Amino acid sequence: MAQIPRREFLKAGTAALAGATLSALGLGSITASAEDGAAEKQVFVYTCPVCGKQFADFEQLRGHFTTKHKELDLPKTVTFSINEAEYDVFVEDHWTLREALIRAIGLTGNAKQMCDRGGCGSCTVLIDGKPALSCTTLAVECAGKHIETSEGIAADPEYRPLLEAYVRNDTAQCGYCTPAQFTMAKYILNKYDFAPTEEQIRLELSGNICRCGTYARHVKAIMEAAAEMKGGQ
Amino acid sequence: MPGMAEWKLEGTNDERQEFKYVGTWDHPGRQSWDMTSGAAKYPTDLYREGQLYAMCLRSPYGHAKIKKLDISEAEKIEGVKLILTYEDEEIAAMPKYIPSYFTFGQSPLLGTEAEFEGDEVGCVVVAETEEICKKALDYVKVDWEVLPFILDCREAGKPGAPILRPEMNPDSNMTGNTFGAAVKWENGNVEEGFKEADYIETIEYGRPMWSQFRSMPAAYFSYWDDDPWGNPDGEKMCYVTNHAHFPSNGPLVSAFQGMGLHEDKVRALSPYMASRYCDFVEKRGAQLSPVLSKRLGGVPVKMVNTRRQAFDAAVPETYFTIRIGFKEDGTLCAVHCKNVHQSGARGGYGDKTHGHLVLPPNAQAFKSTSCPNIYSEMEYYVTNGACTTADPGKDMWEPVNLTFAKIADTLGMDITDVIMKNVIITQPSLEACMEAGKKAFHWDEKWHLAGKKVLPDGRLHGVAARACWSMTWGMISYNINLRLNTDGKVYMPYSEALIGTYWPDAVQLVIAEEMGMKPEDVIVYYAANYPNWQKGDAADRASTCTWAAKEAAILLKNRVLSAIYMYVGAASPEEADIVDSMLTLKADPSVQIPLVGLGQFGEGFCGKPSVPFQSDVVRTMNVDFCEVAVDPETGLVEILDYTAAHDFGKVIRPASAMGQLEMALTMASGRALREEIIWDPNTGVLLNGNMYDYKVPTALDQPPMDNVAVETRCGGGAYGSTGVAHAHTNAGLVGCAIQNATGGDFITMQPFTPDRVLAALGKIKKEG
Repeated sequence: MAQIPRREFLKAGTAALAGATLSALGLGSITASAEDGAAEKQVFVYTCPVCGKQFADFEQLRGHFTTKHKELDLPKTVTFSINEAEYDVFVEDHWTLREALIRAIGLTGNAKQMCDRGGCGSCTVLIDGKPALSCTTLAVECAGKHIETSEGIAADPEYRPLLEAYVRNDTAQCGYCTPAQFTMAKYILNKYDFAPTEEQIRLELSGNICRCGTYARHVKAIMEAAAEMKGGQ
Repeated sequence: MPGMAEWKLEGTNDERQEFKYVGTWDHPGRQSWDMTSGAAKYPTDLYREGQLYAMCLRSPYGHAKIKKLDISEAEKIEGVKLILTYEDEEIAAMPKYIPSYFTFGQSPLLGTEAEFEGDEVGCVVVAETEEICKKALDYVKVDWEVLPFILDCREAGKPGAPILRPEMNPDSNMTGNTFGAAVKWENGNVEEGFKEADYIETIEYGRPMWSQFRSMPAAYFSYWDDDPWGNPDGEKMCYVTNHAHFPSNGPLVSAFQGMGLHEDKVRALSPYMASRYCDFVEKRGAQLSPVLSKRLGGVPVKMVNTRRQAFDAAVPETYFTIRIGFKEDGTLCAVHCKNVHQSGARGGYGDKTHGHLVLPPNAQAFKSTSCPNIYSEMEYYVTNGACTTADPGKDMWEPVNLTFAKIADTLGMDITDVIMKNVIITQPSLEACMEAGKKAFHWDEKWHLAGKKVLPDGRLHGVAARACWSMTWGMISYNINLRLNTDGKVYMPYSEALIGTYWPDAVQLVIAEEMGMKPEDVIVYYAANYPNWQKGDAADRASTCTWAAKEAAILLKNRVLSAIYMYVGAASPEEADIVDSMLTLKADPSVQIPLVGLGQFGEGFCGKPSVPFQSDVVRTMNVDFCEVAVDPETGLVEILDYTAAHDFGKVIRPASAMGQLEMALTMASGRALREEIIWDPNTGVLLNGNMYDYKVPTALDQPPMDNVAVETRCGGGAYGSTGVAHAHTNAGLVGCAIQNATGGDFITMQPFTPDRVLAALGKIKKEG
């Protein structure tokens, strides 16, 4: 276990540091600003499941793996259909969808985990249109299924009224549970034909815990969006 | 009225009457887009090339000491990169007290004594995955010496109790408190007061530990890299995630003070840290993760905690015994108040290096009544019941409100009359809140004598009301830097992580108001590497921050007009104005030119109003009302209506102001009815540290609310604004409403679970 003494470390030239930039952390918005009125699409980055190195396309990643990690078996390749696009992704068999979202896909809106597992709803995605907990769904199970995340819904012009209603009503306080509740909001709108009642919304959101107590704001935002979107249909 | 004569609005333009933006809705928060879409990155979201994970060894015992530690087998496990123990010189040398005003709880950063079950001690492992970390910790051989533990602060105070923290106090388990509040004090002569009383009653009240847990289980991400703006003598920049609100700024301070860095060499990676509710508890990762990363050459290290491991940000338990004397007309004339309070495993609130106790529940609020004779005695005891955090509400008002409920019940009076009869120094605020709240709640139609109303479905109906201060917290100065840029926009940077109060967005409205700018032309933005800039934060202090922002905006506007008035043909700065982001002529508003390209101007203001930090001089009040239905067969309680009439002084940003009320009342309802941390009395092990067994309110549990904003302009913030959330998270009001429903005894211990309700109804035996 190599260790670098503090004094030496603080000087230049002694540390071999990773070269990734801040942008690799995903800082910045994929929804652009309110004035833009439309969201930007996120550029997909292919990430090595062993060392985390990132590539612009899957073939580069495959080439990297077969040369740099040739002692290891090639991981399973899963084709994810996420937010209207398809990606080939290396995943380990034991990875949950949540792990894949963080480590291989880079979409972390629905990769929150307030509880230890399955108790808070903060990781809720839509799989083939139905809510599912990404922390208790294996990534390999998702092959060939359509996954929707908060990033995709926010970028969908059709759901712009929902996004606007959410930010207009301060539905987020600390914001940690908000993307999953926002994802549930799309499900609720569709399930109840864009005319849900308060009781229906509260029932559907009852598996999504918000420690900041923002529930009433979600009810209001969903009903406002429903009114606007129903009228537009 | 005492105190009121000396008070007036202070600062420039505080008496402004016309508002264009302040107090208006539909101003989306700058961060709301990313928080909703999921683009906002929290520490648990961060993943970076070459990232490693770190975990600490944890105590399986309620109180134990490591006699011997053997990491040799753990070090051999493939994928383990580093194991540091308490013997590591760098860790052992890191400051124990950070920041310096945390004066209690002298625990080392990584010691040998675990002060509660789950405490991080002994060693920390860094490995390629979380699974390898866990496996390595399983291979660490520990020879534990199990020590006696105490979970209940009342037990900690008994003669002969084991001394848990002899290095803090060798004689007893009693600790001090941060601000040096007197342990015993007396106003007037209590015994003489009791002689004047027509009635003397005793009130018992107890509160368990509640979990204040932040929504995100603590995760600390850190790495070291070059500073893109310069590396004097080759110094590296430490990148860390930001966790704590308030001036401590958590890991930032820990990183630079703990390792001898200057603050400019520490940069926060994200403004997002999820929620804090006056919660200062940090896990050891706050200080360890930068060290671990450094020791491994700067690679990214994420120190993680499970929900169970991050369940120890606990609101301390408290027990009151209050003897009250009052007259036939409901006037309080004597109070003898004694309370025993838990100061947590660290001898205060805060993390393992911090110990800190701020204004725990005591008899302070009785000073806001007309009662001339008050005796208060407080005892704070260290226990082995986890790290504790701040008291969530203004707990000093719990004994006062229980006193009013007892007087009302004894005399058959309306409790709102008892409140108005006894509370002083807070007019016109109290009267305004009471009137607005009673109207919104329909109090006059709902109130009845205890045990006198049954609903058509057979449930018992009850209502109650309680009063409290609306406090303005302003113990730190606010550092506002404003710049009118050549693009015609006003910029203000801040460097504090966000906890959901929308204070930057409130500040934006105030700056827009004073500058004459459109809100969209005022950019209040997160600037990660500017530690000298504003670190304002929590809801209550936001009002103080807006005050400083107002002062800075006025200074900048004056500076700008002094420099560019001539561009609209004005003969002096007084003849020009800025309206809707345009330079105009007062005499002829049709003359307008944009501010774009007219120059660059800056102003700063650092300071705060002389706001009332001490709680006995608060002038803004709030009154909460609660209506319950109690099932006499099952003891189940449903909250039918929960209404807060809160004097904000002046509402700056209504969406977030009312949101803070909703948050606080929802939290209060959970604490009243179901939340309680439970420890195994035989082992000291936390039994319900998960979200299945510790039940926070869901969307279905949230009580109906009909909150009202009152504006008396009596606060200490901008335009007389004041704070919000601290005031409402007290759970006692629900208990008073339950008593009004049952007509039986007041339940003396929270939460008001069905078994306790049934006991109050005489249907089952009382506990204890």
